[in-house]
Amino acid sequence: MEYLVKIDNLEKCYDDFSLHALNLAVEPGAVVGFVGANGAGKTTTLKALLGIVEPDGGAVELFGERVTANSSALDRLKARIGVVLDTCAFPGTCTVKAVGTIGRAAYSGWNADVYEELCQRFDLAPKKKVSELSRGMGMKLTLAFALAHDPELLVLDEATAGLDPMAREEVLDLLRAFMEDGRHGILMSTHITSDLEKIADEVVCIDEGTLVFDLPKDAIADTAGVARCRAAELETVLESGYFGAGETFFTQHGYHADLLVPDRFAFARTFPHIAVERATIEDYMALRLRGEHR
Amino acid sequence: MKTMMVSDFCAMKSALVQMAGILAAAGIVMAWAMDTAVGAAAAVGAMAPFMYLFSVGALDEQNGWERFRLTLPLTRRQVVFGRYGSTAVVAVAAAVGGLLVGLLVTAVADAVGNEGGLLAGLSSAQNPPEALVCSVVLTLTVFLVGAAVALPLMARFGMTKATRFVPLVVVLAMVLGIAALDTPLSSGVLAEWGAWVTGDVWHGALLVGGALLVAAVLYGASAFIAARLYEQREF
Repeated sequence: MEYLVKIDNLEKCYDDFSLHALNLAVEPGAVVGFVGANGAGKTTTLKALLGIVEPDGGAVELFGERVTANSSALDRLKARIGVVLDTCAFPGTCTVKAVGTIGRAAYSGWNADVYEELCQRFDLAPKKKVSELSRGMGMKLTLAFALAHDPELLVLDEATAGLDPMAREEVLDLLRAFMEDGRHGILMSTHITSDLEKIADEVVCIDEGTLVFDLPKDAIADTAGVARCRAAELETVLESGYFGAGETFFTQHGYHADLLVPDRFAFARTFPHIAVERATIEDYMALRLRGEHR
Repeated sequence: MKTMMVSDFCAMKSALVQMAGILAAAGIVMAWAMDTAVGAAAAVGAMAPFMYLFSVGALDEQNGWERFRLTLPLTRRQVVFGRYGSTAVVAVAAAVGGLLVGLLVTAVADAVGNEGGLLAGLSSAQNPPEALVCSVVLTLTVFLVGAAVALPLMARFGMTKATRFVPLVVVLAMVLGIAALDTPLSSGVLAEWGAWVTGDVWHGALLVGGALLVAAVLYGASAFIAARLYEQREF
């Protein structure tokens, strides 16, 4: 299969931080959520993917072609990618219309009609300057810019941060429409995990530069659960051998504990007296990253 | 390169329009205050590109534009060459603008015909067109040399850090230049050279044209160095 993005054993070292042998892939038709705490290495990964930083090891493939920073292949393939970073990055002196002019100069596949239509939809007046836009409006402008050249891959870094719930829903609708034809893909780094519950197919989590889990969203949001145990029940579960070594993640809060269970239905059959709820991506991530581990 | 130039001009459009108006007015006032159209033309020709260079460099660091720009289908080399291109276009336009301001001032002074009066120093007799051309071309030359030093530093360190190094490099270059010229041998050579230049109007033109050519070559070479530095930079 030709992946839109395939990252193998990516490594990048800074004085105080390193990415360790990170693997990640986005296939056509998939929305991959990329989560982790602040400073986990998400943005560094995206920068390496886009050639903004040079990896120290590993390989990055875009649309089936291996790329390196400053390679001509990367610059050709970037025309097939739409990028939304965590801020509206256009110079404050540019108008909405001028941003379209930059897009027309940059992308051979630029569609001015699509750009104008999206700007209209987002209430972005052509003469409005970037410096006059709120954070939310700025993110909408960046999204309009990213979509107007019909990219095959969208790379979003906190794209919905700063948007009100209605605007976020509007953006998610736009992303759903983008995904309709099955040839597109999205790599979406975000802290708003509820957005991923609505749109993602797969969730990749990293922490301190290391891959923690890479799972289909349904394995988290449908199958996994959080068992709400009393302290004694937790001990019973831990001693039962139900979980293999190193597979138990839990947090204790005084007399009760939250225990991550990969299959809540199987767990409920084995321990019918323990309440188990559906896990959210946030629960799953918090327990995997910050829970006690045995 | 074209994308980069378009993006530079889109970002600087309103500032360039403002700059053109302000510098045209300032040029006229300077000509009147200094009683010379040649000096005013040179001042306009120098101020605009330097203002452009530092303003567009500062915009790079605003909102993370420099980082985002690298996500566009642009090589880093194209980014640097585009910046050199847009800067050169502004420098040439400023030289033409300076020349037009000078010609306008002399035309007005000649039309008013204020012999021996307030506008006497602004007449075309005092500010012949060839002197105006020489002044803006020499200004353009100085700018190109300055930009050839500043742009690689901006490419390597970014605008904020580069502003710490650019004055240091300029002052060092001036000190070393003065030291090199302040020797008995160089004084003699300079005196002979001065006599040759003033001996014939074509010698002067040759000197000005040659200086511009050398500056342009230096500017071009600087672009390749800046591109190399920019390719190694991480954001």
